[in-house]
Amino acid sequence: MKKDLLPKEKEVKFSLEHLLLIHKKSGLLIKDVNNAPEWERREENARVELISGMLTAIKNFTEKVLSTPSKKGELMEIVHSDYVIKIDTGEHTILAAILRYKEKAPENFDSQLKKVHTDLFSKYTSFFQCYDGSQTCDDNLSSDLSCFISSFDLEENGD
Amino acid sequence: METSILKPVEIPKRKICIIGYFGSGKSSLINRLVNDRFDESYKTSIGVTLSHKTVFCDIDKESRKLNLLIWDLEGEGQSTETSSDYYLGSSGAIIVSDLMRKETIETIPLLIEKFLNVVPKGNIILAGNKIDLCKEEQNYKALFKEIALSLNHTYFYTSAKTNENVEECFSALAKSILSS
Repeated sequence: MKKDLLPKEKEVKFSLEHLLLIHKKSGLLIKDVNNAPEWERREENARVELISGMLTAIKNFTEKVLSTPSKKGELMEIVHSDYVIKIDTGEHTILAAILRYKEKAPENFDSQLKKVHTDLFSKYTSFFQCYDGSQTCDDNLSSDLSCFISSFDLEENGD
Repeated sequence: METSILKPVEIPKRKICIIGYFGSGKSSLINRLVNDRFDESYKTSIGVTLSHKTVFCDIDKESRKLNLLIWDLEGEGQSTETSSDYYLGSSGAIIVSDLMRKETIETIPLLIEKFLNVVPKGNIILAGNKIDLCKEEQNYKALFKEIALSLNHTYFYTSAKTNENVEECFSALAKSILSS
């Protein structure tokens, strides 16, 4: 069969694989959703908890070392090979998105991540405020995070 | 519009910190608790290492579980001061001393103060570690007990090598956290 007659493989420029909603102060994982089967296999709950805590520690460390009294900065992304972790920091929570991409991360991703984080904050303010590791939120929070993963995937990859 | 409904989780979780002078055996205690292992060689910890463990404790004759996210912090007294920012958001700490080294015991009040400055309502347990070495040699067990009693904190003599009181120490902290 000629090469151009073969069905065209779906061109995936990037994929949003995992979203982690983290309690800012403690680094405890509030909720996570993933969009890649390998995360299900590789990352049991305890490991995702460790990733959340470590991200918080790295963020604290970087911001402490690089910020000056006149200029406070924020760690917004960590790049490793073809993975990038995008980080949006809110008042009580951190929303981290693990993206895998072939060329470059989508230009408007940061603003979309911020928007979904802001929406979550207004929807679940009291939950985030009193969170100490003893509470869980209703399933709507998972749904909101899952919606973001799937809708973004469809829009940006041109399906 | 806010729509969240709060529900209790089956097993609550908390961040705790392990604090102490360098070489006091913090990482070894965690290694024993989490992996049930002891390594004779000494590896200094840099920055922070995280571990996860579910511990059990009895409260009012009822067995309770707590998931601990354990922050093993770089030892005090090395070239740079351990950042107290790492204490943020923790529910408690185990302050580890080496019963064979006086300076690791004398600094307990200072470490408690540093932790409580960041976490005023934090729960604290003191671990006098390396009790297995105290059988014959000169040691500072008495000094450790005196300081623990004077500060009114629960204390344990522990050994990561022989697994003495390791789980008990973490369970006591879990109980203190769940009771507070």
